[in-house]
Amino acid sequence: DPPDVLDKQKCLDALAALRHAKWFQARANGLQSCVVVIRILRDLCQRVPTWAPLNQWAMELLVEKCVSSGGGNMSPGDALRRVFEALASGILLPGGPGLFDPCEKEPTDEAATLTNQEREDITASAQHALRLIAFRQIHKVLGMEPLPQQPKHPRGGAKAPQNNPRKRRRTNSNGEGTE
Amino acid sequence: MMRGQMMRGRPMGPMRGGMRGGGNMMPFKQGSPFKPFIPHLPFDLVQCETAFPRAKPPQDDKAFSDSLLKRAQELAPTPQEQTAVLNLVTKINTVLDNLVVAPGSFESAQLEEVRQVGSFKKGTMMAGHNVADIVVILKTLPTVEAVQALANKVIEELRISDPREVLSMLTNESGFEISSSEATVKALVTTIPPNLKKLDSDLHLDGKIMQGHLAAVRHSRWFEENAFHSGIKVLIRLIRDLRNRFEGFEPLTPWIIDLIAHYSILNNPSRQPLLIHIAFRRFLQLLAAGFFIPGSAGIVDPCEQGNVRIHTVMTLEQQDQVCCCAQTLLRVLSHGGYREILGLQGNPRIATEMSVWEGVVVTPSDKAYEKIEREEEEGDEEPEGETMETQDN
Repeated sequence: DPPDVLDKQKCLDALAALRHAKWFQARANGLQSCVVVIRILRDLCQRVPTWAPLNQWAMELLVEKCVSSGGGNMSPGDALRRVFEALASGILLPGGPGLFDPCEKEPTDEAATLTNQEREDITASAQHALRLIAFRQIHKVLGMEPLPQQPKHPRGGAKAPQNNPRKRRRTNSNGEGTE
Repeated sequence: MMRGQMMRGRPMGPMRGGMRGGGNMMPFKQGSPFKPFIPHLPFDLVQCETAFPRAKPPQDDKAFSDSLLKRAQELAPTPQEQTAVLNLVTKINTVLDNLVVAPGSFESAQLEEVRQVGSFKKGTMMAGHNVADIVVILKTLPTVEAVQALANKVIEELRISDPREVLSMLTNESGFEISSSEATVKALVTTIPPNLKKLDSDLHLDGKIMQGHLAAVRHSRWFEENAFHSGIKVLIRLIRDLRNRFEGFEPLTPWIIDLIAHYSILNNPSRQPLLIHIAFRRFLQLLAAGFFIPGSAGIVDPCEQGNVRIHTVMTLEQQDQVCCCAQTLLRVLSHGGYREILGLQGNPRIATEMSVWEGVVVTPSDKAYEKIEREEEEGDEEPEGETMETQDN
């Protein structure tokens, strides 16, 4: 190479960055909840060391795949939960499909640089986050104080409280109690 | 015919859904502070493989698949066990059938219908557990005396037909059971649905148990029609075996296991049964992705009225526990620990203890559920009364 040209890898990286930006514009930007969730997860990557090995491009791919495959009109809450579900079900674990990079000619796993321990730790963390969300502790995932609870049964309002909203089946219909 | 339809139809008793009265019957009004509950379908790679094209070659699953088949074989009953159960259940079924058609001098109870249910009937019995279940539906009320008399009558008839066979009989809260040296048949007594309202806990068998036995009839019919594929039966045994060895799965009921096994094998875009190793892994993936935790659509019980999601029979704590266990086992599986998961070798406590797989440290998932203290008591006797999940009816 002549001495007066720029570093080849840096040039390639810059071109890739351009492709990523175009892809983002075309696929992620208009997808409901996608950008919000990416921002939330970038915060997680910066705040929690376990998540640091996940680079930004991998994160964008992951979120777009999860949100676009989840049916339209997902709220940010549902979209975030879905990303954690995908990770919890082992998307990044050894043996999983990996993160196919649509901006490369050859099949490329954007998550290929993760070590097995990093895959394990991110998965375990996502699994815990998923259960925290389901059990109403999303503030712990987001690293914030819980929002003040709204009163469940506004008193004296026009709306009568729902009467004893029992949630759980009380009759056990599992006939084969013998097994 | 009528009878069949009545049974196939929905439960008659005071089950959940529809019977609640008051507010719950109303559809959600506009502007109501209570948002309608729209259950969320958790991530399932099998349903969206096109969004996740493989970026690297799939792993070789042959050894795992072979081990699964080996384990499945160990779990299936031997022909001798099958025969022993079949012999006993056939004899007892015959005696009971005769009492339906020709009760003769037997007047303590009137029999409406006799049906085999449970794992023997479904073909999912486990080796070493030689038990068959028969539901006996009485037309009369199931008094303790009637059950005792019926049990005596059955054992008497059996002894007449074969005086040499040694049989023992026990009555219990769900009916009675008769055992030979090699097998046991449980007669699960219940009554026709109109009688369920008339039950008196001082005189009769427990109403919930009676309803459970009627549900067992519906379950076994559903199973016959929908879950005849042998892969489903193999997967059911494998999951039951997991449940026997991993405490975390203890809350999974036989009916939940039937339905999740059916789902794991058949509920995919092609509607073709998945291979057993794929379905087994999918079972863990689904549970790990929160298929059975609050907010998830899970599986709606095909044998109950009113969109009852099957995982709601578990308490919130149990849902967390089952999910935790699946999450840990899935990670162990992905690092190559299938022999430990199948109980073929190694540490049996991988679900609760830290383990190391080729240098990768796997730490068991820890519970997330915390009981939320209610600010005010509202006479809600439900111990798990938080609005974790809302029934959408």
